[in-house]
Amino acid sequence: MAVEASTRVPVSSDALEARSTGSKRRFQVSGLLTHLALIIGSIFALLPFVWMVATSLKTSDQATNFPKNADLGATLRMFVPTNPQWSNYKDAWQSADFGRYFFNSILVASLCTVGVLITSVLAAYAFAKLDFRGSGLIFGLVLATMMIPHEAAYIPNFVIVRNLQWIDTYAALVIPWIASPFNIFLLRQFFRALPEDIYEAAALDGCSRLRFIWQFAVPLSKPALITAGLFSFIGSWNSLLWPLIVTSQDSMRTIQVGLSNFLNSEQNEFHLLMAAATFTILPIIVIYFFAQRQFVEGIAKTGVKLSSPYLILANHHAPLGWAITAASAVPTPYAPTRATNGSTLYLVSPAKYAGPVCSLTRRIV
Amino acid sequence: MTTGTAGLQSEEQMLAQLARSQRRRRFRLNLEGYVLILPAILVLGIFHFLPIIYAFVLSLYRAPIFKGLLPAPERFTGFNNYGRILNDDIFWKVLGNTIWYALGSVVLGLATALGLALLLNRPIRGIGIYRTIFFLPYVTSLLVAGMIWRWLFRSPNQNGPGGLVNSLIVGVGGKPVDFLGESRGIFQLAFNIQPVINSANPEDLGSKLIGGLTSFLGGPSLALSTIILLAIWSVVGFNTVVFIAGLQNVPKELYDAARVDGAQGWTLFKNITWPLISPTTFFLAIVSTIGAFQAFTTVFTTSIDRLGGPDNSTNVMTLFFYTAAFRYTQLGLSYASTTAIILFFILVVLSIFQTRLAASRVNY
Amino acid sequence: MKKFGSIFMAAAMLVMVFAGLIQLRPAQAQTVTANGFADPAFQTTWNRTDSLVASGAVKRSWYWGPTPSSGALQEDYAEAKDGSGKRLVQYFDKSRMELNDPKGDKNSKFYVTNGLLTQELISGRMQVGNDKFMDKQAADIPLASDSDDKAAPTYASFKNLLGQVSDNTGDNAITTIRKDGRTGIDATKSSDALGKYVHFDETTRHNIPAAFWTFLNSKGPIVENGATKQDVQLSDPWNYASGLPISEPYWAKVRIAGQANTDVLIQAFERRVLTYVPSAPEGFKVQVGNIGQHYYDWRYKGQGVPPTATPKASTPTPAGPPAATATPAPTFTAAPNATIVHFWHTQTRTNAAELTAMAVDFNKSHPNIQVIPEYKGNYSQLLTAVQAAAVANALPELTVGYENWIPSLYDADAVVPFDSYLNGADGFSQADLTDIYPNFIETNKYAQYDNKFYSLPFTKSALTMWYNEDLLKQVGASGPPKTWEEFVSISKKVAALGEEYSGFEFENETSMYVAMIYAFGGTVTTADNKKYNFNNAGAQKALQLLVDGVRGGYFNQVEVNSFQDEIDFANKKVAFLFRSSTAYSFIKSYYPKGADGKVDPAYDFNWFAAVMPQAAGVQPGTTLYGGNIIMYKTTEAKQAASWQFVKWFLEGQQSARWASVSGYFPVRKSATTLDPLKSVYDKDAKAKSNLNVLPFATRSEPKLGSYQQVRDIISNAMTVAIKGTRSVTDALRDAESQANKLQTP
Repeated sequence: MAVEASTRVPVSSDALEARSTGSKRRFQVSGLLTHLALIIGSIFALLPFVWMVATSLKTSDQATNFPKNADLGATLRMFVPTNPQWSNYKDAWQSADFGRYFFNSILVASLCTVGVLITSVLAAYAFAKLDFRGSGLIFGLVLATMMIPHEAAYIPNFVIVRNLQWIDTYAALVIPWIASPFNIFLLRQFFRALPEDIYEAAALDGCSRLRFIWQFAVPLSKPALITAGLFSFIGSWNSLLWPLIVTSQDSMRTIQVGLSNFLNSEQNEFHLLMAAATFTILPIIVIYFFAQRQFVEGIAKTGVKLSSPYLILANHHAPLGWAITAASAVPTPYAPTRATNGSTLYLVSPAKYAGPVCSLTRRIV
Repeated sequence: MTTGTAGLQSEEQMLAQLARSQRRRRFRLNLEGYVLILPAILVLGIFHFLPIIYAFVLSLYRAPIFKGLLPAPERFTGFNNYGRILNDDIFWKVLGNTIWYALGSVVLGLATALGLALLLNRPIRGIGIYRTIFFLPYVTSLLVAGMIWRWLFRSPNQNGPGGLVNSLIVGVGGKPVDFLGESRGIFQLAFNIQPVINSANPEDLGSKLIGGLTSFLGGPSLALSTIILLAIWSVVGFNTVVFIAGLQNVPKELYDAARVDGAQGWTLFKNITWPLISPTTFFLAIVSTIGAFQAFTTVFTTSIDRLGGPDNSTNVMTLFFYTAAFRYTQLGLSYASTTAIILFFILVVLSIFQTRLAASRVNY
Repeated sequence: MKKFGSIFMAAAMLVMVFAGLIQLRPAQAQTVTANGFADPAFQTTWNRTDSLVASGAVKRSWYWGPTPSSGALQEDYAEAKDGSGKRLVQYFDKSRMELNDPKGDKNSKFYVTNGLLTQELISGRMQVGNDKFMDKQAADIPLASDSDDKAAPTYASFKNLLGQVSDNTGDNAITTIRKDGRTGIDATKSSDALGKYVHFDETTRHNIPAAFWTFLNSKGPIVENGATKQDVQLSDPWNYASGLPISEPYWAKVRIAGQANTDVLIQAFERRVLTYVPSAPEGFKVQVGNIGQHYYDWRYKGQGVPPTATPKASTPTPAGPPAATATPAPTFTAAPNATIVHFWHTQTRTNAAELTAMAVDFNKSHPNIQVIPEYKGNYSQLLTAVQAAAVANALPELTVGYENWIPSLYDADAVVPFDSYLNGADGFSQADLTDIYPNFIETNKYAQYDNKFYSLPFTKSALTMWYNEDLLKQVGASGPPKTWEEFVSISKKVAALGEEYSGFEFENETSMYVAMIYAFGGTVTTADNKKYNFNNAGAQKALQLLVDGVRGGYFNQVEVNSFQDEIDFANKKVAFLFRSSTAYSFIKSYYPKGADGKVDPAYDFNWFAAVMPQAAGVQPGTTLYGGNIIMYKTTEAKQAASWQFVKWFLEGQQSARWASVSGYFPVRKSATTLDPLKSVYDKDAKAKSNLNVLPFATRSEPKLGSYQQVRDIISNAMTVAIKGTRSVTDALRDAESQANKLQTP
């Protein structure tokens, strides 16, 4: 995989230009194909979802009434509610204290997410970068906790939570879930890709470990962190059995408990269930829509592949307040970091260095 | 001479000092590590690791419901429960189903997700909308998704073709398919294999073994395959996001450089993308496998009777656990824990195997 | 760390200073007046009525008592105006004077108040703030007799008698009370003129007899501002000293002044206990009980408390640290004094709301019990919560549950049979037991556990054959089929009406099939209830009927939980349904709706409930199902309170209420004649037709612990047989052997 980028440098920019124009038409065609593939995929992804929304606007007798005969047109028309029953949303909302449930779910899911991110970043960094004694074994044990069904843990956990007198408190809903082996594992994979050199450079400049994690590791792993956060938020948002076990007051219950009112119903209330399901997932869709823009931003930037010694850095990778400079500009004793082209780079805090900052762009490579 | 000795001494001293400082460094490093993992370990230890030990201890008892932390001592039966489970025909069937479920959902699921991620990791118009759309299934509550799935794949009955998919099949002139009600394996259906059942002596271990093996090789039942489709549908969005995050870490420069060198398409993927996202792939493979072995909600909401039917052909490990623990009161938590521990060991072994396999192929 | 430490120290010091201030406060307040009154205002209040009694100027009973019976005391009072959390009080024989706000208007009638002692003594909860309480025991102190009369009613006797009643003005008080709180009737008291109810208090809803009403409104000489005034209402307003009545008056035979078997009428008011002794001399017939003294003894000397539970007798320590108050969990309604009963259920939506409303009403009429209904998901989820609670030793008092849970719960020693309560003094009378449908009684007896009642009916329904009478007429049938042959022939005719029609639609559901097995004269278990036996002729015929029907195209099997059968039935496309009796309201909800989302009133059609056909020679019957109430082993008091609720819930009125909202069967025959159920039945013959089925719902499904699993095994056998994967006999044989494997240990 090691691409000796330095040997490719002599290619003239004209040649580069010529190649890209040559492939322009082909690129457009492939772009069109991409759209086509994505649209077909989207239909599959959306179908059940559209179905849910359509059903949420029907009456109970229409909700599941399929055409009796083979009638494709009639089947497809089931996706369009003939006279939308917007009152289903009102009815579903009013059937339980959904306002309160929403508040609880948002609070609990947010606290879980923040908690998970803090514990996971710290632990994942340690597992990825610090070769401390027993790290392999402990990491294995952490992974092992994923390998037993959650439901098996509910009963002993109930005993613990009860002895801590947390029944009917947010603590019971949050604290058992503020660490996640899944997310530790996920972030560890990403942190491992960070170059050790950056830390050494930063450490020489007086950067502490915690500060390094906060200022370097975290910003550099933004997509992974967002993924971890989403995972944790959605997991908490969708949990049902645990909240039922550890809460008894209606005021402490979460959105899924409200939803279960319809799921456990002894009659066909799919129209209400779907209405409730729609508004319960709405917040997550909104959150995701905004979160995914972080990925879009990521695309515009150059990535960091930090497989030493073929290190490619650009100045905008340096976290705020830091700069990556070329060797010539930096006095010793900063620790060197080698770039892909073999030139030596340094990471310095501007507090210590006020000289000219050399911006490394692709052209250097 | 004296200077030499002195030099030697100082060299020894220096070495000792070096060793001391190394020890100190080592100590500092260990300490730092422990401090950083402490918050996570505390929570995981108490709320996630202790329950494993608890489940193991419980699996040595036989008591459906009990008061207090453990059943009465006279209920201790050692490894009796394990014997019971291993003698349970349904357990073996469930294990086979789970393996198919995992194979199907992990391999197909990851391939789809990677394909999508490659498509979605390009600066194309409307990328945000696409990404949101593909993520929608993941945020949809599985309980609801399962319900929708059942409607989509509803079987034909006396009065009509059934759900949407069958309506479509019939609409274009096909024969309706009993998706969720078909307990025969898909390979068995595809190649029209007759199951080998020694009906003369069905309780004979040998015929059981052959029967079980052929039924396993018949593939996942059509019903289970339909549920696997749901599993892929529901989780592909998330896997795609993780893959995208991984792809973000592959530097554009490498592609540019390689393109300059004339590489393109498959070569680029094979030589740059695939090796560089191997940590992500490895992570997803392990996590998806664990997830697939613990699949519950998909089957619970979608199987025809909500309990792994028809004919146990969609019953999987965690559903087996769940019904034993919370539905079949006479089995109870102790018996269910046995299942959980068996599942635990299967997953530990699988993960170790996957890690070993990946050790030489994952690039960090 | 250092910083944190110093903040901690500062905080600790602040707390200590505060504590010190609290310590200092009482000393300042203890300016006891020369003649023993803790505050001049107390003396003024006392002077008003009792100085004249003390001087012998008038002959009447003490209002407060001859002298203060305690020193000045500082008692916890969370709402104290000065923020100290304390107030100045002083005890008298008959009450406690309180000074809530020393800076208040000294001329106000309520500058000095007198304590709400009765409530505390009866409930056993000591009030330390307007809504803060400390749990103690109800006072076991005789309230209207010589204090050593061991058989006389005590405050604790009134514990369960605080419920509201209706206006009985004009009637006589004839109810009697015993020490154990049980009540009876003494008809001889109906002639006592002073025992006649003359006033009904609307606030607390209790009747006041003439004797007490006259006393409370009596006039006489008083002392105000040092001058004696004549003919002034002693207690102004009438309830200033006594408060409002909190119980009805009860007659008792007690020993008074050594005279055994003296009749006394006792009524508890918020602040006083009034007694009326017909045999006492004029002017002393009505007396105020020595509640101040009783309360003082109870609170400070630990009297009236069973020896085992005696809290450490504390001498009056006016300057003690603030009491650790048990903050009552702000669950449900805020009834201050109550045995809490958690009731876990699976009801959702309107049913859940009604259950909660009923519990609220129960709590109102039983202020000493607080039932809290809690939704715990579906039956599986509820069972999870029960298991967790068992492991944590935190079982609820009551839950809903199935019969087949009992073996496992019994095995865990977690359940209590209802028998001792049912047959006890506060149980059901013979009349009650005959009023309850016998099938509900029988199905809750557990043969394997000495025929004891380990559960009682809660949400009962029966497997019902719903039939479309219009369709039946259309194909020439006169009424619901009585035989299976008729059933099949009608089904075939209906199915022939068109492609959309089916004779019978069903979900693959074991309960339905089991009911059919019974109707074919088959069995599910062996007679001794130890093994499964459903590979018999009846079971085979029943399954074969379904298989043939589906193959023949006149039956239609619909997807589980799709409710498609009910929907098709509501669309007039199906002649028969085998569904729960509760399906009545569901079917109605599936009537097709117009563009406005409403059902055209002309759409309605004739459909009713009947018992499913029965094979020749089979006693007609069907399966009874639904949830039961299970009582868990907790404490004696909690179990007794739980029983109170269960008993109340199973009374006719409540049964009618629950049945009318939920659609479940009423538990009692009498409930069908009571509103709101009666009006439901009167309004709709469809709903009422359920009663045709009820008496036949005599069969319960097996109560074996493994039955839930066997249900699923049977359901699977149905699937494979109907699908044709296996023959009926093979499917049932395999299922039976699987089921019996579960029964062998």
